[in-house]
Amino acid sequence: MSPVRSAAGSDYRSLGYLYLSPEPGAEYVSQQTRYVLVRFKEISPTAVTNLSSFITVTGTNSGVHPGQTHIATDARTVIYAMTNDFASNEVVTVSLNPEVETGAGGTVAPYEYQCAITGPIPPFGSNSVVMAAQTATPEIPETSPTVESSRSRRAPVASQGHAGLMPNGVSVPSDFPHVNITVNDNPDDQYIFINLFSPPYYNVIFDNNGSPVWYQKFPFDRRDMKVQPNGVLTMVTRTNGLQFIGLDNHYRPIATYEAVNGYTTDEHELQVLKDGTYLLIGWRDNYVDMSKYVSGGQNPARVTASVIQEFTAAGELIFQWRAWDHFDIRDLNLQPPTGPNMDFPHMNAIDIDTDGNILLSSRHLSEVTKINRDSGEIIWRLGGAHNQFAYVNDPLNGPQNQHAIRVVGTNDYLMFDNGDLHSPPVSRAVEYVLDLTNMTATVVWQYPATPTQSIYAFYMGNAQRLTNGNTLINWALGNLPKLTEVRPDGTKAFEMNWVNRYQTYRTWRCSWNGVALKPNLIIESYPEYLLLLFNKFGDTNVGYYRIYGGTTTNPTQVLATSSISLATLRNLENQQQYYFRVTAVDKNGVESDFSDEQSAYVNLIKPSENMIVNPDFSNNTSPWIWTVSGTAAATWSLSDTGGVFTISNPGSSLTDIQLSQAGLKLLQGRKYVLEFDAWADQPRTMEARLGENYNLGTTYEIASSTLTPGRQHFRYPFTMDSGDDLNARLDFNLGGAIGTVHLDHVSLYLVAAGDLDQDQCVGLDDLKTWASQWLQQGAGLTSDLDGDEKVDFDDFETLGADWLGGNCP
Amino acid sequence: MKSRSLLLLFFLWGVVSARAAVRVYVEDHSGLARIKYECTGGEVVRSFALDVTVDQGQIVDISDFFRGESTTNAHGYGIFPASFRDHITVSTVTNVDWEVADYTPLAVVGDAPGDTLPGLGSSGVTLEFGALWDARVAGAGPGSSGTLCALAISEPAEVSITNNAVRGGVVSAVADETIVPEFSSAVVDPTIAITGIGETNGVLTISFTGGELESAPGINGPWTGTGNDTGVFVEALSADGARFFRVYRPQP
Repeated sequence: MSPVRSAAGSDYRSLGYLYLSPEPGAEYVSQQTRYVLVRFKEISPTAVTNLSSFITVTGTNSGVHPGQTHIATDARTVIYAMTNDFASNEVVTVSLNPEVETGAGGTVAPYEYQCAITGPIPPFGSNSVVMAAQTATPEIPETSPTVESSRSRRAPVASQGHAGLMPNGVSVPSDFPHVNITVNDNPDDQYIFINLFSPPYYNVIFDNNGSPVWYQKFPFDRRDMKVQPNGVLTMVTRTNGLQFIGLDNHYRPIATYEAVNGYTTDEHELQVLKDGTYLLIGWRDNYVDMSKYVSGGQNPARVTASVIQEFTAAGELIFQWRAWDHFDIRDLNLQPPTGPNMDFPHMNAIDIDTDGNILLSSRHLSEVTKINRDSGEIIWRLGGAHNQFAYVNDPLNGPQNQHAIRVVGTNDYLMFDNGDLHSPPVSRAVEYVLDLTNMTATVVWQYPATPTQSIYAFYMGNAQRLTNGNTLINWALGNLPKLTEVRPDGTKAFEMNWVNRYQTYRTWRCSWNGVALKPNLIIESYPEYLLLLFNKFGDTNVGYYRIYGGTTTNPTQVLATSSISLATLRNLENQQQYYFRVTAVDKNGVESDFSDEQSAYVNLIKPSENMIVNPDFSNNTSPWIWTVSGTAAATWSLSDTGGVFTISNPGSSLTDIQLSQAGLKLLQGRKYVLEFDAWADQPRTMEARLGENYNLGTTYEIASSTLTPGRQHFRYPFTMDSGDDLNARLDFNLGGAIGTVHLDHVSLYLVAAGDLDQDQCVGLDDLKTWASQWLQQGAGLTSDLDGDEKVDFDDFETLGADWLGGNCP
Repeated sequence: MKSRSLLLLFFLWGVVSARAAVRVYVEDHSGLARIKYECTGGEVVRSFALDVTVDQGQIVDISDFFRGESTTNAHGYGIFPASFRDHITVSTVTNVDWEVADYTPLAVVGDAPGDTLPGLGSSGVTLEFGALWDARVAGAGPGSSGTLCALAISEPAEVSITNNAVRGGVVSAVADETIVPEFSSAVVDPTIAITGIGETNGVLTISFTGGELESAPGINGPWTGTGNDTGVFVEALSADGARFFRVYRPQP
């Protein structure tokens, strides 16, 4: 690269400066740069007698940028903090005129340099570490002490798609992601920290039996959950823009971590050191004339450029290391620099080496870079176009497009080599030992011993050397394990994957002793009851839970207590808002704080009752959702005969025009009937789909109806084969053809288990059918309503529960 | 929501008062063994599958059982699965003739998978009682206590009850709730009595309790023992004039 060079000399280090940021001659500097950083080679900043005035910053267009100067808490970095943005495409001059007291131990000369501000970017947020008030986390309701009794409830056992209790007594909701452990042979005893890369966005800490010791569900993925060396549990959050959040061992948020100087926090890595110092990655978009750098380069091309930023525990930016200043964009090997967009260089991991310097993994360069943490100078480069090492014992001749550089010893490094550009592509965990004298990189361990195409994770993934000497590998992709723990001899000690084969960005094992201070409460609204799940995570001294509830907020009435972590509420007043909160009472009788309050609107739907709200459009359009996307054009109106949909542009697919209603409750294994009346001004197709409440989610039932000008009644019975979904969505997909469609009397109802003839009435005819198989045994019996392959009074109870319910005459 | 009703809304795992129980017990009522139940903790039972045995003699008859659905006007456990299967004809969704002969709680010995006691005329019977009611109608369910049926036994005996596990035992009407009932037995001293007499196609059937059936040509005797103490006497009618019957049990 040929940056806009300084007007005041080429080597600031010879003038007594160790590190400057922005760097002299830097290009594409952020308009929102707020900090000028200065480190001296020989003197302490306390030796500068004109500290408050020795730095001036002036933009050619924006003018002088006043600022405040102070010495950071690291006692070596001078920070000049400004408040105003720079103008786009201006040149900024930084003037340094330090006056040093005599006997300071060295000299520093005045120095002036320039850097270039490039195009405008959206404003980003700002401060770094924010210590938060110790606010609450999760919450839950509870039930009462157990007494000896002639009856007891069978607590549901949790499984994929079904809420219930896990073997360790923690209750989990219906969409909780379960794991399938296929190898469990004396593995490392630290907990497993993992999260989902797709909905439902759960973060979970598992034990080695697959039981959660803690979990939370979030609106977005909170990747890279791990325990930092200072004991803080960190993970990505997106609640207030991208940032990392830190929780103490009571799961209380105590810190946030985010990039500054106009950079967006990158979700790849946060490293917090023992003293609270932390490093993270930031990124920002530049619009660059790439023809300046490469033949065929586009103008403009969007370059997403990364930066490492280091902060003190107090949140002061003390170090910044930008890709633009140290890498050559022409070296990108996974995205060609001639394209319209490029991620430069896709920094995806940072670690601190044994000597305190920085290790950086840059995926799109296939390079691991060691960086001097004082000066920013590159110490060595492993892999990529500027590789300095000869590979020894490496059948793949170096890493390609790797993730997760980790220090495992002096000059000893582990990484997850995705291997996109290996030929053929293969992935591995690989350990290199570097000889810095002979500049060799020797593979001393890898898994699999012989990389194979069947194990290829084209992105994400990580490797971690564990305290027991084994290596944790996360293969990231759905069909591959999310944790393979391998011994040094290559045998497996542990292996697991999500039952539903979700993807995972990183998996960690960490030492952790988290104990929540109050219960976490979740309410699931089932068709016939509310299920309350409450866990005071990590607390083995809970005697019982106390459930408070009522129809107003902050309920203080104890409704019940429970010795287990869930409770079912039936016969609630329908169409009523309820509020709940829960405490845990320990074995000494001491009650915890309240959980966060949770509320639920009780909308009990009995079998045969229509769960569609406003099914004939007689109550205007709510809660139907009308979506027209792409090139489609359509309107809908209401008439005495229901909804009328006029389609003038059919779009490119059926789903371009969509009428939807969410909030539908579908239970696994139960039978449902979808019914509606529909007709059109000319023959056409309309699709009805029941599925998860987000695009591209699982489809539970899909039916294609052929509409004609005459009103027709359509009826589609189906069985819910997927796990319970308490917020399923019905879509009528109307794209694909122009014309007018009429829709009326939409109905979706649960077929009562005892309604064997599906006539929406559980009556004597059903009893007769049921009794015909009385005491028979075997699979597939229609009277076996509880699925235990025998017909007895337990099935009779199921039949009786809905007796004469529905539409009996 | 009114606060007074909130306390009633929770269904919790392992929650109940310490004395709560479903008792199934035997009561000697005028010489008949009444099979009764009582729910003391608010339980609602959907069904009972019971094995009833006597330690001597035989169980000779069953009576006093409820038939059909439980309603606000008539409560009880009147659904007997095996008998419903074999004897009830369903003509409409909501109406059948529950008064058909042979519709009783007695299990059918031949039903797979077995575990059925031999029935009347033996020392044990298996009984099946279920209740069906419209849960939307207040007060339609069976009461918290009542009589399931009455059994006539041939001689004084201890009458015992146990769960019939194959059929499900005692099943709660609350989903996912398990009931562990308490059973108690009782000594029943049957009344010395002829409880029924009838003739069908020239065959005489006499039901009796409390001893051996004796016959005589005249009201004053002489009395001759029939050797039958089972409670049911069957004999083809003959044309040799009137006969008189009585039940005799020697004093201990």
